[in-house]
Amino acid sequence: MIKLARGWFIVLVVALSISLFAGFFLNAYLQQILFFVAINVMLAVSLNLVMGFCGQFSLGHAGFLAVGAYASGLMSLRVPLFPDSLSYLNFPIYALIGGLASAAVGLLVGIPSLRLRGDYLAIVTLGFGEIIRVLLLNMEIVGGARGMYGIPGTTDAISCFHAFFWSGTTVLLIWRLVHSSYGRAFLSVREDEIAAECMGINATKTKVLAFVVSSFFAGAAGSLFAHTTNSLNPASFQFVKSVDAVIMVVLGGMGSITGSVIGAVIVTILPEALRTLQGLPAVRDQLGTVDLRMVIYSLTLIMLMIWKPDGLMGSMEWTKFRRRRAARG
Amino acid sequence: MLLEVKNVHIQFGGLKVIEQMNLSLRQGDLVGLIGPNGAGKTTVFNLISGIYKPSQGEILLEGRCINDMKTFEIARRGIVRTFQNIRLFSTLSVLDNILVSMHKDCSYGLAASFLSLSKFFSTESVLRERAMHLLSIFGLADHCNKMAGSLSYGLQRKIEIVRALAGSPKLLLLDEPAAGMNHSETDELMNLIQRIRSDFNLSILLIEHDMKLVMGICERIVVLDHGSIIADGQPAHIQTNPKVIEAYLGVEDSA
Repeated sequence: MIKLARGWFIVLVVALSISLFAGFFLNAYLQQILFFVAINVMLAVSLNLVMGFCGQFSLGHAGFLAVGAYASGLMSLRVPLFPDSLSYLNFPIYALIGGLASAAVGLLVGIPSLRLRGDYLAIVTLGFGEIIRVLLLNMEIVGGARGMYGIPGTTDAISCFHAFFWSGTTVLLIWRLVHSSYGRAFLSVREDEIAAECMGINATKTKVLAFVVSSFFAGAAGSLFAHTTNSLNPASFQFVKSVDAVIMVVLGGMGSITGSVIGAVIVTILPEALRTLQGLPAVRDQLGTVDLRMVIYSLTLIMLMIWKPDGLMGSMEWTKFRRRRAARG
Repeated sequence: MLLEVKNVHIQFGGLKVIEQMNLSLRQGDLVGLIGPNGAGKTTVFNLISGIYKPSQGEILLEGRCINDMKTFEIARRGIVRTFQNIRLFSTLSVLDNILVSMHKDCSYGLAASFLSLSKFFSTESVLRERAMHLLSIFGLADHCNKMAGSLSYGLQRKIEIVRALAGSPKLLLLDEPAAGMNHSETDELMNLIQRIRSDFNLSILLIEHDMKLVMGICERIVVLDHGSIIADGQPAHIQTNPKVIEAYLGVEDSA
């Protein structure tokens, strides 16, 4: 019972302290960045389940984000659940619906495409992500190329709590999943699919499971995205978005949840933090409108890959550090 | 009859690899499968474990046809194998390698692992205990937290056998268990195999080039050459069988 509650307790405390901090000390701009941290943590951790733990290279994560975002946005515009005075109660339900819609699509895509491996799977998932985007671009009900506007949602402390609660839940549940027998099945498929099958592991089912769970949380992240930006446009879910998610996972370390969280935080905050650099007189005078930000951002990534090719954490988790310290002292 | 291979053929394109294969194993048998390089021994293993599907004929496990079953289904029904070139999950710990084999005995669902229900902890501790018990039988308990790929070759071979046993097989297929082992390691392995058979009450089919091992422990030997069985019998008979001698050494040129 204590073990059961401990995880949720940590999630609650983290979400609560971040949202209180955001509500009291941060302006709207910083709150928005914080929201994207929450969304990207969900995106990276869920993608890591497929890429890092199950060993299946997916380049279509933005597609699942889009499905969740549009399902949740559409729901909020067409089917209001609670009256305005209780509007905050809507968002968890929207996120759940976004996640379920995305998981359903994940199942549909996963079953045929997970027969493929490596590069082939990457191409298929990339294609899938593009199909979703083009479909959305041509669907009148979601506004087509004009996009979807007027989606309710704020970036205040309560919404921030909601976002980080989901984010924390994602980390907690995926953490538990990979530390269960299912997690060992994921790892065995990553290590050697044939050997895993010979030990009684249903490799296809295992891969589809990872894919569906992953797309659920990506969809829930999409819902947060929709209610933060208040408007959706297919252009927000381009291939680059999937690549961003891959960068977060690889940067943090494949097969490390801690790493994915760190990766997501860095990839979200670094480009924003570097904005101040662009404002410096010296930079402005010398380079004009050249975006120095992206140069530094990409150099940072390249240097990291040279010095820490396994990512910042490799496949280690934060608990390893704690254990090691305990062993030493 | 535990395993029956009836009239099995397999061909890859125009290449006939196994022709007209008939083999049957009873409960408790310890049978050796030998033959020159390229005779098709590992193909037989791949057929029995479901990695390849026979082009013709059928394979029965306890009277049930397993031709159309997936590899993992066959493994769950009791045929578990090791590999000629070790295929451990090398970045996983030794304990986790064993636990992967026990995934089929994992009785908790997804909800239990998501919500960390008490069933999750109780089942996990039962599985862990069983895995540790198995490891300690083979004197590997000290290595349980080490990364499997970091261990010595001999240990890895042993761990592969333990991993297969963790799947509680009825029939254990060992593909060259003594490959790369020195004399004393091979002797130890021979004892181990015999002990496994009696302690775990299972049948063993093994491929091996080390004649000392094969002749020493197998009650029956099946000889494969160019995809067909050329001899099947007791070790003493196999040693004097002219066909076997021909397959291994060739015939003297009379001219």
